[in-house]
Amino acid sequence: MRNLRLETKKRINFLFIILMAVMLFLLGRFSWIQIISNNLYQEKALGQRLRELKVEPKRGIIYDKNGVELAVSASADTVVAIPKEIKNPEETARKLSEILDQDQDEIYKRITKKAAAVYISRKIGDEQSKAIRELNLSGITFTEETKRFYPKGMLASHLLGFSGVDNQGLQGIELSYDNQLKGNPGRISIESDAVGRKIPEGIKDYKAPDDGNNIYLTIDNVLQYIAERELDKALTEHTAEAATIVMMDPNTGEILALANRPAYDPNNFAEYSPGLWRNRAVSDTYEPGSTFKIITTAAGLEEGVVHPNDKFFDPGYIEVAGQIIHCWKHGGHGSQTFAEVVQNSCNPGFVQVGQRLGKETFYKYIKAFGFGDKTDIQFPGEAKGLMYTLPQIGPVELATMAFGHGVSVTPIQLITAVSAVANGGQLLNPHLVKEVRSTDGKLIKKVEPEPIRKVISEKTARIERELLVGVVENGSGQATKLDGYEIGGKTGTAKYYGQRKYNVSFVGMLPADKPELVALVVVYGLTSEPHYASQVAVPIFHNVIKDAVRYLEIPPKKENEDKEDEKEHIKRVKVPNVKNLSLSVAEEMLVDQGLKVKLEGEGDIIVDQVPNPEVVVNKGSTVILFFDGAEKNKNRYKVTVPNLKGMRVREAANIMSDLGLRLRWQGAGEVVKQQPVAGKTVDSGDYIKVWLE
Amino acid sequence: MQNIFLKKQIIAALAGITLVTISLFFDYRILRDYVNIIYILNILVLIIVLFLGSTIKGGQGWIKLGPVNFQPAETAKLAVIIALADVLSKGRYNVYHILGLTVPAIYMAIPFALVLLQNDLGSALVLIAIFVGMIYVAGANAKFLVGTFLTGVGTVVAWITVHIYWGVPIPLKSYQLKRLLVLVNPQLEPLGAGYNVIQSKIAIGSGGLLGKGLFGGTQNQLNFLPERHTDFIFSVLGEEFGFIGAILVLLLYLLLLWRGIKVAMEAKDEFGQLLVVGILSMFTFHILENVGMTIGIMPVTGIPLPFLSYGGSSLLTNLIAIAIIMNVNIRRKKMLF
Repeated sequence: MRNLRLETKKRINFLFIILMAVMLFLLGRFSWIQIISNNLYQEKALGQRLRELKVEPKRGIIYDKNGVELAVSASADTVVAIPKEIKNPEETARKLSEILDQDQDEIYKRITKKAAAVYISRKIGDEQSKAIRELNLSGITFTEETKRFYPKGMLASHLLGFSGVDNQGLQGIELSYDNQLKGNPGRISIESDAVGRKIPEGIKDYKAPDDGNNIYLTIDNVLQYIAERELDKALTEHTAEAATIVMMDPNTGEILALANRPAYDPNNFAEYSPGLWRNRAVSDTYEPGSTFKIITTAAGLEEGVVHPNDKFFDPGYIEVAGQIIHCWKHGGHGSQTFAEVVQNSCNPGFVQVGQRLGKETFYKYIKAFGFGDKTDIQFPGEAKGLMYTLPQIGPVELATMAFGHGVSVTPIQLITAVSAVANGGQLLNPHLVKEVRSTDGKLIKKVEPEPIRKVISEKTARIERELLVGVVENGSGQATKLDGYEIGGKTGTAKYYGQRKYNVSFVGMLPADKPELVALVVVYGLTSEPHYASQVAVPIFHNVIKDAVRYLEIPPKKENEDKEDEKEHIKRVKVPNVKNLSLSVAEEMLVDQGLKVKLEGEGDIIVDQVPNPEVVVNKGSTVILFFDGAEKNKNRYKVTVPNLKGMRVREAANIMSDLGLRLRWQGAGEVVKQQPVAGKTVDSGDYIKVWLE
Repeated sequence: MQNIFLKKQIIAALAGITLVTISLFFDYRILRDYVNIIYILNILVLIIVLFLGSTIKGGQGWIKLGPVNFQPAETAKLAVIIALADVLSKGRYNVYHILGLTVPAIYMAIPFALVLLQNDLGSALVLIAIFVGMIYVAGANAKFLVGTFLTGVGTVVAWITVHIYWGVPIPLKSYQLKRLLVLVNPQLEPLGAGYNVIQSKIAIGSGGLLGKGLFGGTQNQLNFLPERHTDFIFSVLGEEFGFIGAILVLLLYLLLLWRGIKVAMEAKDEFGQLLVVGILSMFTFHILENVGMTIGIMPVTGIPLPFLSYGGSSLLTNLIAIAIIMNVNIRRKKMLF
């Protein structure tokens, strides 16, 4: 019995040892979990509690060079459902489908998903949003997202491109500058409980998004508008597949306007065929035809193989390696100087220049002018153009290339090359973006003119420009003559093989002695008559530059040269007040100011005048003076008020002053309202008030 | 909600302490006089609960007595302890031999089967722990016990293996099986059977050395941790008081058990000794199982942590158990008279 007691005690002791072992085991496990793995579990705990919500950054604004908004981001509501909080999914789905015009079953499926939150419809309109808010449905909330908006609609659509629902750039500048525009999303970390309910004051962390940077294009919206207006007009007058206008500042490489038709509205890009999204000016190539002769000429002059006064004879054809190449003119141009060869765009003449250069040298120049390579304009989908490789060029190929056949180029390549001729021989990198600025206006990146290489000498460039002036003065470009301006340019007409279909183009520069503007007009797939560039492309060019020079205030130089002593002629003067003065005094005052006088009625004392005193007019303008009894004639000199809406102050003021009206403005930005309204007749010198925004 | 829990728990505690105080006036040996009534009554209640019981979380072990929900599986543990202490201390069976274990085993097996029928695997395992602890101290063959334990565990593992790979039928509910499987890999069902364990480990692990402070436990306060007032109360402790708190509580348990061992050593008779050993076995298993489950080393079975988990029946049972130990302790020197 004693032994048994002892044995029992031993066993109880052993039980205690087991107990201690259990405790030690637990202790070990707790050390592992709570001390050694503490960080891991803390992270896990935090990960469970914190829900990270992305805060979308605001996409950068795209401005034209003057700060006019071309692409902006406006906030729009996105409908979000929190499935757990929805009380009546069927009814909710039905009501939402009515307002959003979406499939009811689809919505039902979404709002019954096992998820913390689901999107129902993103970036909806204000009216839809309001209607849903009024329903006050449980479990339906909104988040604000930004939606891209292109306030000028189709304007510059090919350039701007567009961005998708997640604010990602999909086309154009929106795509190539996506990294600048998109910004970085911020985040809110919200502490929530196990079923995903937010905890009051549970926001642990808020990192504001970095909004995207703003981009200032080299594009000028007024020039762009002029270009697009002329394209629209041209395509109603002619039957053609498409047309392109590009304007460039030859001294900086800035693209001032780049327009294609047909176009699309980036606000509703999905409604247009993707083919319309293509920026032909950059992505598509065409056969340049005679405009390419500018390159042949440049090479010939630079290499000294031809001079403007060299004599050529064109019997109407030229034989090359046993093949007859015809001139476009039946019977040929006969005897002519090289200057006339350029004016006449005589093919056999250029074939000879090409032959004198030889294929290696000619090819070198073609490459030097940037053909066959991307221009690095930093636009998505840029084409290289097609060109023979050097070994592929035989005598016939050399001959046809000399007058621009058998090569294909992009409009941007051609205008860049021609700009080199315009600026004295320097090939510049064409660019579309002037500056990138942060939202607070800090300069992030400034695009400077980037010289690529010197292609031809100043002298060659000057001689060539004179030859190109000849084309406008006496040759195929005559339709673009503009009073007071010396314009140099070259037409191009290329026929589609085996079809009555043409690509016609004109590339020109002005003022020819020191060009400030180069513009290229291309009409693709022209099937209507006339089909000559001189009758189609040149008039379009004329209309474009007529408005462009006025807007850019490029002074008409020719006049200056002719009347050197009247240089101040274009100066503006204020019309003096001559009312109640005698005719002789009034006349003296006006002539003294360089103004002309016209009289209405008879008498001695002036009772009224047009324009009114204080109006600023060009020197040399006529002031009409009225004598007693002739005031009623003043009606004849009334002015119709133009529409100023959408203009900026400078532009509006220019027009006002041309019309002899005066401008009063309020605010800043663009004209949104004017008084009196457009179409009303007012007296010369009256004030037009505009409100700007 | 929480206030109701608190109120109920305080009432149970007060009732328990009153019961403890009263019971000290009686010698524990009078239990022997009532052992059959206690045992049979408990068996009857266990049978009744099978038919009339309310179901809570998969186990239907509850009887509603007016405002009180009573869980007979809890008191059954005490009944088995008393019955086994009685039968083993009579020395009628030689428990060193397997055959001698037959009758004591039947005493345990009947309530074991009934509790298992309620799907209360945890409490059933407690009964086995009690049985093993008591027969060991009563002189059972240690080699045989170890052998049986290893065979048992081996059988379970083998059975589960063949069940999974060859579809051999297994007498376990699918959720019970999953609870065993997630012990090996909690990520097997992170939102199902593994969820509790994962959340509990995160709560305890994120508590670190010093814890997040009282009511500062994010995981339990934000409802990530399930059953935080009952089965997973220790996770709350671990999260809010950290390693220090958890170990302190375990040390308190150790202190309690060590005192119990001392009482068992010095008990006046074998009946008292076995009563205490049974109770210590019960506590030990509860602690190991409950705490072990919160740190992923034991399968999830819903058994409460003594004195900490919410639950009136459990608290009452545990207090009565303490009362018995105290009673044995008080009367150890009576033989001197």
